[in-house]
Amino acid sequence: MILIDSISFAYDKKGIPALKNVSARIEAGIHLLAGENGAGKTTLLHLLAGISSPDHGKIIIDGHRPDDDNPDSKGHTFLLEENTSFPMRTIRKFAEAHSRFYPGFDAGRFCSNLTAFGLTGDEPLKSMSLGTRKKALLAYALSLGVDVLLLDEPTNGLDIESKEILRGLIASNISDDQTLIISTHTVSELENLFDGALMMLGGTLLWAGTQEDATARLAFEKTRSPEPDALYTEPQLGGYLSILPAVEGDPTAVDWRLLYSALHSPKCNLILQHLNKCSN
Amino acid sequence: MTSQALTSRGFSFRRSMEFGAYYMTRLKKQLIIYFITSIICALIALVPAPEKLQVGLFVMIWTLLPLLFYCAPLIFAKGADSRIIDRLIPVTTGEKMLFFYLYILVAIPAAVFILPILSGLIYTHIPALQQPGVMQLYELKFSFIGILNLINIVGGCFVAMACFYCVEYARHNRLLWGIVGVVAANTTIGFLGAILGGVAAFSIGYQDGLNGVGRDEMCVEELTRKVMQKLSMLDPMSITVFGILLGVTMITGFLTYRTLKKRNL
Repeated sequence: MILIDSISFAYDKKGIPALKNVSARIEAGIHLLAGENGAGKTTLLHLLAGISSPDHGKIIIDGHRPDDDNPDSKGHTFLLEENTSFPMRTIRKFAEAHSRFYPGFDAGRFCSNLTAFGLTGDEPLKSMSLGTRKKALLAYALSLGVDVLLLDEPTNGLDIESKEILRGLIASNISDDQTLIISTHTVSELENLFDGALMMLGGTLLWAGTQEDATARLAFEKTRSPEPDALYTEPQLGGYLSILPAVEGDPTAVDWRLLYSALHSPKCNLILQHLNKCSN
Repeated sequence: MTSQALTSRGFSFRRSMEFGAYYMTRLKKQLIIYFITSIICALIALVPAPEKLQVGLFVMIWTLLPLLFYCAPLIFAKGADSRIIDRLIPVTTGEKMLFFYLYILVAIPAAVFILPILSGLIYTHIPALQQPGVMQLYELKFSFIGILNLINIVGGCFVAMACFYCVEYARHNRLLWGIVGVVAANTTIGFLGAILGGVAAFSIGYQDGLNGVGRDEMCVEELTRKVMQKLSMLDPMSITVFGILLGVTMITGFLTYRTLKKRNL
């Protein structure tokens, strides 16, 4: 379990803070981290990975502070950033040198992940295209078996087929007691995987909760005409997407993209009122 | 299982070496290039040649080799995209420091200096190769004894450590900042050396020799020898300069430790 307690962070101590008083409690599962450019998603991932320390507040991951100078604390988390490159000739060479620090690493799973992406692991990383390199890195990151895996824009650069493979690999590699936080702008590509979400805006956390939290209070529907009771409506080809107050006993699947749009619209406060009623 | 030991609490020498093994694939090329350069320098120093050429080669070799040592940490400025991955490795800062300093302050000097020093010793024992000018230079080089030798060693380590600190501290243009670190640290040492040499020269009667020393070459050599002898002894000035140098080196080490531990990426 990840506990984020009132954290604030600024890169330039006299400048605008990148994160302002962010608090959340994140249970094991797959979570979406969404927000506009500059919302503080990457900063939050850095803090969770322990490569930056909050100016105020604290983060606790399974009883450890991720920025502690202690292998026991650091070894539970891994962050795969969008523009990361692995400093070895091949992903297999990298895995040999790097995985020894991660006791949960599963070599068999790593091989099968590579195979799923059509790779052997011996291809030179430097001569790979962006997408192929991304596949190699994802195959490795998913087999590390860390308690908390943080992926920044994992689908960027992947073709449609590879995105499908990635969905399958996430579903099969991430166990129930692991936490996976995926920061992405393209929610729809991984939508059905998410157990929860963290929605950010301008350095603040608008809402963090689980699928159950959302569906207990909101209903996500597609209709031919605008719903008069809708809290938020968005026109779509051939109809409307609406967020409505939930009907007890009839939960709908969460449309994370729609929820994100609603939370970034003038109806944000109305939606939040409903969501927070749920969590209270 | 190895991984069990690698996540244990407290300082682990083994984990430090595993961290080194992770880095070595990137550093191997530098070590090989440095070693080959040192072999070439050692061989060049033994080539029979006219005095002027030998003096020129001596100066070139002994300018190049320390520069290689000072600039060795610039290798860590490479691969900015993997900096986060490197930082995430579950190893304590002390373990990282141990590896980095073993590499920078032990492995690199060993690869760079051992063969050329041996070649110098061989040169001084083969009369057929010897040229008077070069012999004087070797004599001066190998006369670095006592505290002067320590000042020389600590000074070199300080420059290399300053370079490493700048590379690790900088978020952008790490290569450039590393070079700035080398220049700044070398300038500091230059000032200290000038003060030390100046005071030593004056204390052994340089002022009296102002009228004669400048014109008479023998007197200059004698003065140099005397200055070196004086500096090699434990006089208060040498001890003070050594103390200052040791102090700034330790401060650089502490700042590097703090940067590796807490610098936000």
